Amino acid sequence: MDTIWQYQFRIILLGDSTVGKSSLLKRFTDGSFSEVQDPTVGVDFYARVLEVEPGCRIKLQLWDTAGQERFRSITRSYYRNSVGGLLMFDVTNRKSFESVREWLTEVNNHVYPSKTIFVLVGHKSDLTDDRDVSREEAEKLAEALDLNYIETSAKNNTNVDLAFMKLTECIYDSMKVGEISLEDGWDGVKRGFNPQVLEQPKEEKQSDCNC
Amino acid sequence: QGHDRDELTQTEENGTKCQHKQEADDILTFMADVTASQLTMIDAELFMKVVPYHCLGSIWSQRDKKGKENLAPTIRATVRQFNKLTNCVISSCLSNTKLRPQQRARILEKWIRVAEECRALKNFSSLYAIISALQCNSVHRLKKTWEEIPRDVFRSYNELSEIFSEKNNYSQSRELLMKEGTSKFATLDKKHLKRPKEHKVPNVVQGTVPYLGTFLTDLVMLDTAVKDYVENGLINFEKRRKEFEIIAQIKLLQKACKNYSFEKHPDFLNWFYRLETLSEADSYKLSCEVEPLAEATSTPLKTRPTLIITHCNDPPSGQNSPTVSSGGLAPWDIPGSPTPDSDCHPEFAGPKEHSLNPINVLLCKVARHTKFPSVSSLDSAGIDSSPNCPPSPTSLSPTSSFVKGHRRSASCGATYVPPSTPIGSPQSDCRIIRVRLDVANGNLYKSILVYSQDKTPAIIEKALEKHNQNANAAPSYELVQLISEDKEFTIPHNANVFYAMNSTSVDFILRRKGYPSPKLRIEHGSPFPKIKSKGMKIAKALFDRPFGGTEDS
Repeated sequence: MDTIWQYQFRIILLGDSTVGKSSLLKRFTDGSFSEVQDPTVGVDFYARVLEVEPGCRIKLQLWDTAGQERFRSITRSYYRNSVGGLLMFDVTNRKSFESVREWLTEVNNHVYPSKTIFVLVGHKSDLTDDRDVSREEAEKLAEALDLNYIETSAKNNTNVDLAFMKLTECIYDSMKVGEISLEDGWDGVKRGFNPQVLEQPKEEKQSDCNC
Repeated sequence: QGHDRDELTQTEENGTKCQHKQEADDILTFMADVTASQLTMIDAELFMKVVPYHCLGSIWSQRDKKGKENLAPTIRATVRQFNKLTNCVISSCLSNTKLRPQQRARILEKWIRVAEECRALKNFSSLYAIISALQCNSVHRLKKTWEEIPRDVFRSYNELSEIFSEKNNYSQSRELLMKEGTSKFATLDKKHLKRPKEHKVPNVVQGTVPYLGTFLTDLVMLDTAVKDYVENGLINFEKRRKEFEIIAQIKLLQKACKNYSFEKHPDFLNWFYRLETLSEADSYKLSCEVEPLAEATSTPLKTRPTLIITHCNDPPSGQNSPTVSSGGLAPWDIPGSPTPDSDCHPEFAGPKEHSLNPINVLLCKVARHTKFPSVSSLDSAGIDSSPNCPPSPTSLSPTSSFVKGHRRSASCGATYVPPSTPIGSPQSDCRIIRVRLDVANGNLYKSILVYSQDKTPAIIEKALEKHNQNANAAPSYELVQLISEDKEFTIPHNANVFYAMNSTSVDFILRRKGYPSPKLRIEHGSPFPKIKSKGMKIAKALFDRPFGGTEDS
């Protein structure tokens, strides 16, 4: 990926196996994905760059555990190396909604005391007739868990980018206030090319640091 | 430790609580190669039974649907064994909470040895299971235990972990599988990964057990990404062809698996199958008993330390200028490489990862107003160091421990240490040096980890690689240590760099043989056309300071 980016966020998609994680991911990364069309090629196509504020580009490195959910230790190792994720359920599948708390607890236990930032995603919003979880209910849960809530559909491309954007912003904001920071041996956030113009106003260029 | 337990394992008088605890660390009584062979035997049997087409995305992704509970039982069996092994590793490491860190470390070490043997047997399934178990939070967080792991073992653990790095969509494990899948032996080019006994016997062909998860994900992704039918309603053969390729690879590996031959080791199998499994919550609880949370929290391992500014000389009085200015940092690596291609261990990426961290800039600002626990040492760094202190050599030296993320805080203080103090703690057997190329305007330093056994040519190669130069050109360079303004020391061409280097400085340059010292010569431009002028511009823009070496300021 040649695009210049300032930070890389490692993102996981979580949720029961049938909620449509791969479809959402596919939709989000579509351009590159359909070009390659072959997951076995060693290409970094689970990635996309978003501009979170003018001049600050974030590379989202996306992890999909699709097909491997049952290898418990593997998915858990993803948690620790992620800065945030989309916590997904299927609005037509009550059980997947009920699993949300479990997923969150599991991740939090696993990364404690660090924090992983999530956005709650109600997926398959196009299937209005089969809906099993109301928006109000989901919003209530999101509020209780202190998460943002977004409804998406990969099928008609509703809010897909928005969900990832929202998440990216949440993470970026947490970084700004120092709740999240770069760390060696941790892949959650990585520093890319950074001309330092973002966080450092010009008048502050002169500093007392001169060693 | 543990030898007296052989009897216990063999007798059937179990049933006490105590018995369970003793059993878990009985792993110590089994030889690593025996353990690996037994695991491989189990894995190979299961893998050969896998019905390849059950791995297809269209089938495997239905496994959690109602009424599909019995779908793909052969895959489920493989997954179950994988989880059984990770659980076994975790419980053997944690069940006995009374062990001293050194004792517990022996168990971890044993599993790393077993992992090495699995690697040699090309059993990627058990290998990954063991590695991922050791990476699990409950085990990973045991800082004191990891500190007791011998250096070479820890290095081996890192290399084995690296196999499963997700970099470039797991390209490394894929390449290995392609390379070795149907070859007779594992290609163990790592010197310290010792070959198992089997390899000494000629003509014993090995099979390969892959980690099934990669195939499953690939096939699920393929199924999601590619349509079943093309526009005019015709079957999308391209999709089927790709699926076939993966299925064919599985079949080929299954065939190769028949080449394994092992003898059953009833004691081990008995132990393995009888071992009680721990739930995730249980193992976490035990882990916290072994090393209490508070303790762990105070370590960088858990807190994601933010403080890594090596040369931050901020006066204690609150000023509004940022602590880390563009001018205040040594221009080491250009912070442009997306992934640290560090050939030293990631946890030793050292100052490279730290110095230009803009988050730290932010945090420096924040720290003025708020006290975050994680930045508290920032303040002391500011107070302790005199405003014009030179980059402290100690800030670059790793200590003897290899625990992930662990010593980083040690590099934060930037307290000035008199030059006579040897770099690194006395027991440290590696250190980080920084090397730049001797070119006009070349003050781009790259950090390199030097082990006590590293010879000059290897270090030169490493340094060239880090500078994106051709490592083959190593013989035409010499490694020169910059001791002071007017003093330098050429490391002899086949010296042990660790011992040969002067301990007062960590700065080195790579100079083309036959070139005079830069102080004596007029610059003629870069003799290294490979250095991109763009890169230099970037660096220049970044550091906004006259070039000419960090020591000049």
